[in-house]
Order: sequence, then structure tokens, then C-alpha cells
Amino acid sequence: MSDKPNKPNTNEPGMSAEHSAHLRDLLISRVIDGSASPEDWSSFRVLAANDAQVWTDLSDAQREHEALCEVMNAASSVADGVDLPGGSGSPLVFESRVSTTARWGGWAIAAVLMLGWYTGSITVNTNDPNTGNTAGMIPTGKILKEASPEEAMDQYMHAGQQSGQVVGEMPNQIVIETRPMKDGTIEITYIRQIIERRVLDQAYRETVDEFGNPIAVPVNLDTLNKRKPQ
Amino acid sequence: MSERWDQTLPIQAAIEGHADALSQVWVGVRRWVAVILMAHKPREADLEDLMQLVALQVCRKVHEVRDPSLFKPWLRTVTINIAREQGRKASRKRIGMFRLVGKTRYEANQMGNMQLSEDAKRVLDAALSLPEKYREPVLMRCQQSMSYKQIAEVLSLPETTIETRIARGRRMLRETLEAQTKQTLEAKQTKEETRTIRVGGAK
Repeated sequence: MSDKPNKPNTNEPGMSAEHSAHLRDLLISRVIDGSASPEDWSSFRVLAANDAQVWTDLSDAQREHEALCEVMNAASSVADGVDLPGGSGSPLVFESRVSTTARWGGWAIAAVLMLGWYTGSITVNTNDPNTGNTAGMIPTGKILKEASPEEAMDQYMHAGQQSGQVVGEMPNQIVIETRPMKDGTIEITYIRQIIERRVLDQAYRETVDEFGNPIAVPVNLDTLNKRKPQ
Repeated sequence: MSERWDQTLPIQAAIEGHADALSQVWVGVRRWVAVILMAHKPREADLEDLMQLVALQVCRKVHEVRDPSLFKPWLRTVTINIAREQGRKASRKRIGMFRLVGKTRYEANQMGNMQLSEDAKRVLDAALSLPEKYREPVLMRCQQSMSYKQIAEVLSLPETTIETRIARGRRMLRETLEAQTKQTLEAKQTKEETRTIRVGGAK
């Protein structure tokens, strides 16, 4: 650092203890940052000659700085993986998102209702002929590879409910984006929520580390067994 | 594209709605956005999720920034607000849910985790306990591409203040860790003394 705004000189006579401690902190900090000037080093040598503890403090501070750098490097790796939504190579999507979010935001609620009606997934009972669902109405013998996404989904729901693995589908879809298209249609991106059930021989409780990353901790089955078995 | 802090980021063009410019600006600032999130988010909040929320908010609101010189302070405010609000939501959600996951998911998560040394975790915990005005500059300085001047620009403070806060924050961090080490040693000593008394009593 060439033009330092703070000029530490711990050798000044009559300096208050507080001021002296502040300048000591500055010197240690600059040494850690690799920005200490020759004047700073001279001051540091004088300081160290009178107070050997400064070496220990410098060593500790350096180690702590390195530890935090490790954390920030890991955080940078996470940051580097996050791009703007829509991607940099898709200006049309981006511009549409920026300019029309407010204008088309109101479509989200309507879109949920429309989707619920269109997909017929408001109810989870797929065997009721009155709901309009097509589960069980897929032409027999049609293999999954040839089925349309809707047919494949219905097959999955039907088979899953028969085996007990699929409990049902949540009635509301989560709309992520509503976007008007050039031809006057509307593109809706949404999430469908399927509820599944599984039987496990070992369970893990999800917790998080410093970054919020999930970490799984084995659940003590004895604790679970104390609850009334289903 | 360089990941380093860049003073020549096309902020004006980004504000005007040019997608490529905004992408370039985002790449230039996302690392310090991560640092600000780390400094303000609750422990259990997901860094990547929060980063994505900030990215989305940048897309939606960047056109509201009146002047390029206000962009960085604006982005910092947006980031802090998201860290606090979404962090609280994530916290409530996680506390309210007792999630059971299958083994495959567990193994996948273990592979995807970032591994930090025990020392790094301990120092980070201590750093997060620092008062906010020291915590943020101390963490930013650990982001290698950020100088005092650049930190001062983001925090809208004089460079001298930043240098002072970093130096003082480092001392506070050192003292916090020293106190923790002392406490641990004392607790260990007390435990051993108790055990010795018990063994002596048994005889």
C-alpha cells in the first residue's frame, strides 16, 4: 500500500495506551496483508524489541486470516457457480424477465387456477371418472418410451398409487415464471408437487454446515421407535 | 471473463437493460456478494440459494438504480436484506421440518459438500460473532481481489475507517478465540479434576 492514510509510529513518547494499541493493531494488520512499508517494518521491529508478545499475536492473526481465506475461497466457489437467471447467452429471456415481470406478475395466480383445471390434478383420486383425469385410460400395451409426457405422468401416478409409493399430487402448482410469447400465447414455467411415500431401513436427519449445505446425520432408531408405530 | 473485481464494469449499460452487460457486472461482483451473504446470513441458510435470489433481484430491479455510482451500495443493501429475510424464512422452515431422507440422497449430499478444516470452522464461528461493522470488512479482506479501497467503495466508508476496522476486527477475533481456547482448557481441567476426585473417592 503506497499511500497509507494511517501512519503508525509506536515509538512516539507520551502516546496513550489506547492509541498505542491501535497502532499495534494496524501494524499487525498490514504485515498480514503484505502491505507494510519499510517505515512500518521499522516500527514493528521497535515494537517487537520491547514487547515479544507481538510475535505471538502476529502468528495467531496470520493463522486466523488464512483460515478465513479458506472459508471465503469456498464461498467464492459457490458464487462462481451462480449465473443470472436465463443465462448470459439468452438476452431475449432476460429482457422479457426484466421488462415484463411487473406487468405479467398478476398472471401467476390465474395461471395456477388454469393449470389446475387443464391438468386435472386438483384432486388426487385418479380413479374417479368425474375428475377428468386420464389415469388408467392410457391405451394398454403402450410402452413408456412412446407415451407423451402427460401419458407417462399418468402412468407413473396410477402405478405409484397402486403400489402405495405415490400418495398424490398437491393441488397447487408453484408458478416460477409467466412470460408472453411473440405469437400471443403465454409460456408458464411451474413446479408440480408429487407426494411419495417410502419405507426405509435407515433414516437420516438433514442439518446444515456453515454454508447451509445439507449434512445428513443418522437418526437414532430407538428414539423413533418410542413413537407409536404406524 | 475475469473473476476479479473490475472498476470498468459496464454498470450503466446494465442499468439500461443490456443483458450481456448485466451478466458481465454480475460476474464481476458475485464473489463479494457471497462475502456479504456470509457475513449476514443465518448459519442454516443456504448460500447458493441466497446467491440465486440476489441474482434474480438484480435482474428485476437493476433498472431502478438511478446512478452507476450507487450500484454497489444498492447491491449491498439488496444482498443484506435477502440474507436476513430469506435466512429467517429458511430457519423457520428447517426448524419446522424433521426431514428424513434416503441413503442415496445422503451419499449424494456428502459428496457435494464443501469440506472446511476444523480450524476454519472455528475461526468462522468466531468471526460471525464480531459486531457487524467489523465482521464485514474483515471477511471482505479475505476475498483476495478486494483492496481497502474497493471495500471502502462497497461499504461507502473512508479508506482509513476500513483499515482501522479491519485491524481492530482482527484483534477482536484473536481475543475471542483466545478466550474460547482458555475456556476449553479450563473446562477440560475441571473435568479431569472431577474425575480424579471420583477415582480417589472410589478407592
